[in-house]
Amino acid sequence: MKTLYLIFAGVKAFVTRSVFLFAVICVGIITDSLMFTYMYGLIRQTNDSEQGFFGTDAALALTMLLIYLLCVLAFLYLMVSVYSEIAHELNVYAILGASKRRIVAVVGGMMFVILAVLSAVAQVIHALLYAPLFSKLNVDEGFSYGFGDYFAIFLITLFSMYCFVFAFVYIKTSDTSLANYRNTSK
Amino acid sequence: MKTLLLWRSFLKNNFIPVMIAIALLTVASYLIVGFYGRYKFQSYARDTVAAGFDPNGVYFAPEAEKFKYFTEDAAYKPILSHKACASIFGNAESHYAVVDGAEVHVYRTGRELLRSFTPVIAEGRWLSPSAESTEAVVSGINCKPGERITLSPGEEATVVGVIDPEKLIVPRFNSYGGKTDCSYLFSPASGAVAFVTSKEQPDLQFSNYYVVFDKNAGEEDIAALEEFLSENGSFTRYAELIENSNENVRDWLSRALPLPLFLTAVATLTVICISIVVIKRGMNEYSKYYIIGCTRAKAVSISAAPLVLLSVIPLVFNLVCVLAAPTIYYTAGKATAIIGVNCVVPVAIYTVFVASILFITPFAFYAKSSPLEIYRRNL
Repeated sequence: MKTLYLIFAGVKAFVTRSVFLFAVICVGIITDSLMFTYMYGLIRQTNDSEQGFFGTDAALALTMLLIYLLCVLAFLYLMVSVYSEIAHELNVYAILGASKRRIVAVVGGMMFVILAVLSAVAQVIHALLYAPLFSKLNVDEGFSYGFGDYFAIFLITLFSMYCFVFAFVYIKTSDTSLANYRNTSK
Repeated sequence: MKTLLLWRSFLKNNFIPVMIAIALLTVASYLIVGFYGRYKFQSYARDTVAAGFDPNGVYFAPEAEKFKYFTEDAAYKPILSHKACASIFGNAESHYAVVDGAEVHVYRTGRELLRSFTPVIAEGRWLSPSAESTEAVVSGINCKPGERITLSPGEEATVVGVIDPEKLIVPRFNSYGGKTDCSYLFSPASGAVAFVTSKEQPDLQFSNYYVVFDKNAGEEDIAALEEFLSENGSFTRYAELIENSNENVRDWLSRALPLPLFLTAVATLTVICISIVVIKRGMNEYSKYYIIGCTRAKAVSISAAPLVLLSVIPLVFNLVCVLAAPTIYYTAGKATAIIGVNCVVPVAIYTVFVASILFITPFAFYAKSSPLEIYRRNL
């Protein structure tokens, strides 16, 4: 219960401390999530065709793949910057006696909440703007995203990204409390 | 020197995000150049047909099997024998020649072709159908009108014009499809090209042809010729070529353009977000410089200037690619775009837009705040 309270209090503190920075990170993560949704749809569309993903225009497909990979890296960087913003406060708790397990749980929980909310918002934005905007990007005119697709993209984004983020948090908090405190001091 | 060291330190501390941002900007710029080049080709091919081709004609694609009782080279002769046919032209005979040590693609243009195909001339004039001596119009060679070039041992030509390399397309009457448009008649060209005409006219190559109808021909004669053409292949009328091209450009703008726009928007937003985060994270350090007496402009320039300077890298990369390897912008290995230095102009505008945002952002952070306020805010 205390951990849950710390997670939500931490998220609230992060949001209110720097609304502008939070907004920027949100825009970045939502934009990258929209790219993931588009790539998922594109792979589904081209899987059904004879030519496959690289069949129609290999150069464009490679470019898209490159942008996708760079978006993944950018997404991870933005999540790491979220960690940087919240880590210092939690390391103060660690110095005051909070166990490492609790710190990892709180930081991991906060990242999970932020990631889940932003991924869900991205799917909602995609669904709302699908008819006027995103449907124009389809290769197969008859293709449309169903609830199952959005849910699958949400889960894939959430868990694949969270694995990296959690591993990063775990490594970053593996040092002693004092060293972590010093590392996250500005 | 001190500023340079601070820039270096900034880049060292933010190496990964800066590299991600530059890579994203480079890929976005590559997309912009490729799509602008493709748009230029589509619209220029349409303009060339609209400006020079006789509206009273058809683009004809013979079926080789149906012409087997003629030799391939003479496939156009039965068309020419029809009463309604005023003239016919097809691909120019082409070969490579070495001019002033450089390999040049030479197109020997027949009179009928050069009357219809009139590229944009940057200097001098286009080839004259009534030229008595061998004339040449060049592109990609360092020649001025009036100079003489050697095409082959014993054959010289006088350069009468230079083509604008940004609008260089060559006739390539080889393609035919369900919805043939003007781009099927041409191919973008890069490198050195020379169009040559001489008193002795080259034979027509076996290719697709543009058949011009006689203005004075009766409807029956035209119908007979059209029947002959449809029996021996397929044809598209001039009006259909133009209409299909207009439709293709419209369709291309509405269907093909959203994808690069989306990818560019994703890349741009991501770059801006990463850069703002990088700047914001570094502000604690720069606010210390500000508080101990560094001017606001200098404190800002430590984070903004390296980002702005690095945002020029994608522009330089694309400029080098356009000049050295324009083929990387072609679709599936086919020449589908006119790639020239002009294509980098939209990238330059894009770079200025992104660089302005990157430059303005840190000033926005520092605006109307005292050094102490900024320091406190970034504690």
